[in-house]
Amino acid sequence: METVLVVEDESAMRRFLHDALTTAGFTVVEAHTAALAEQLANEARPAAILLDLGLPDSDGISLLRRLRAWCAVPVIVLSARHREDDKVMALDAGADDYLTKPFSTGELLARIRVALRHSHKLTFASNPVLTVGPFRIDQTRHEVTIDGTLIHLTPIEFKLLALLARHAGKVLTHRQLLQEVWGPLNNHQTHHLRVHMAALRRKIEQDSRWPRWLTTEAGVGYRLRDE
Amino acid sequence: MNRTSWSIEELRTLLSTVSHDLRTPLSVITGRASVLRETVREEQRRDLDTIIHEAQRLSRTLENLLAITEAYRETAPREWIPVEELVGGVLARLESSLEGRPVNVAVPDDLLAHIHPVRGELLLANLLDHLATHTPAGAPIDLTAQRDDGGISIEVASHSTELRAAEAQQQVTQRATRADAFALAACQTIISSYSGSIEASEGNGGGTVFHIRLPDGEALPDLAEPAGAELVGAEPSGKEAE
Repeated sequence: METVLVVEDESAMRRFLHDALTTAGFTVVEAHTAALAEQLANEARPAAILLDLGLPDSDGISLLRRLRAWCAVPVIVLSARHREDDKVMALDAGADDYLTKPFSTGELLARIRVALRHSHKLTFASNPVLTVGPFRIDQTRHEVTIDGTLIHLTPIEFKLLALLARHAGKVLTHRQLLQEVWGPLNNHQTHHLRVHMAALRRKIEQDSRWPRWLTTEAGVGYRLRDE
Repeated sequence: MNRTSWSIEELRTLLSTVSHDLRTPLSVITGRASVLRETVREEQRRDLDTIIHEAQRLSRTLENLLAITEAYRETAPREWIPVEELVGGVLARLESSLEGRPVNVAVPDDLLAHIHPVRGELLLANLLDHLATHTPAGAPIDLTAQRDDGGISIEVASHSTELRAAEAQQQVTQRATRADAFALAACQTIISSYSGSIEASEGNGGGTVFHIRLPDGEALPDLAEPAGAELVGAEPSGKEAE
């Protein structure tokens, strides 16, 4: 049974997360301070960490940076909708994903499933052919099919789709996408990325105004859904 | 404490503390209700859906409250965002409150809005939600947008005759006291912070049309991509853009 470390200072929220996760078959350990969280991250060997960004004794971002110095366990941060900058900072500091309060149990478990799947996958060699939903992305032949039908993508659209597919289910920030696709020295701005994403969406979505797979996380980045 | 007035700064701090304190109970309510939802009978499930829906609505009221206080203090940083992307985000977010109402979107592929992404979504979400709240289930909503001189204009409309435009206009312009009027007042604050305007009028044959005018804050960006021209993928038999 896998262990989830819940780092949250509000006791009612902690109890809810405890109950939801226990019902889903996880073992839960809880920390209400950053100090205790660091200790438990080491001792309890969690498979995933849920981290509220508003801790009393240390801000969540510094805790995240300290954890990332020695620990690769997936971290999902909990944050409010209007705190986009905090989310981006947390993701760029090494968080794997985030949940916007209020969220449902379904969303919580879906995020944890994705995070666990990615951390297990790290042990396997990367596969040249990625399959996500109806998409089959052949990274060697640079070919993409949707339900078996070949589609045409520009090199940038292909890179974006392959990158999102390698992280299927997870959010990627604008900065992460810009750096990976255009290189660390690029001077492209977010609107370049948005325009390419819009073009990609028109090619891979049945209705690009109501996207089923390639979703926008306002002010944060993009996600390729895998379920 | 003996005082008669609060400074704007004090009010802002107060609001931000209150919204933090409200958010946790709202998260617990939504979370607990969603756990229960999986274990109860069909009739009770509808009650829990109502609880979840109303908690989400409260959460958006909170968001509007914060947007109003923030917009009074400073103009949110603006970015160039495809309107299609804003609309996609809003539709995904409002899926449950739209209750299957069709939303007819007519937006050019290359139309860019110069706005903060989160406030832009909130603006459109408030208008769509207002129309959805005041029309019968299934009544369509039209959303059109186009570039005009030095900015863009957006129209969000319902032709359902149960809606009264005069009332909506009043809610846009007056200080709001009810929650849904409050959402329209938030729209007004957001759009004014970009020197834009919003008004409500009666549509042809009834209903309400919201007109938004959003001027650009800078020249349209150059989107030329020097090394992105050639195509990957194989034969022209492949499926092209829809």
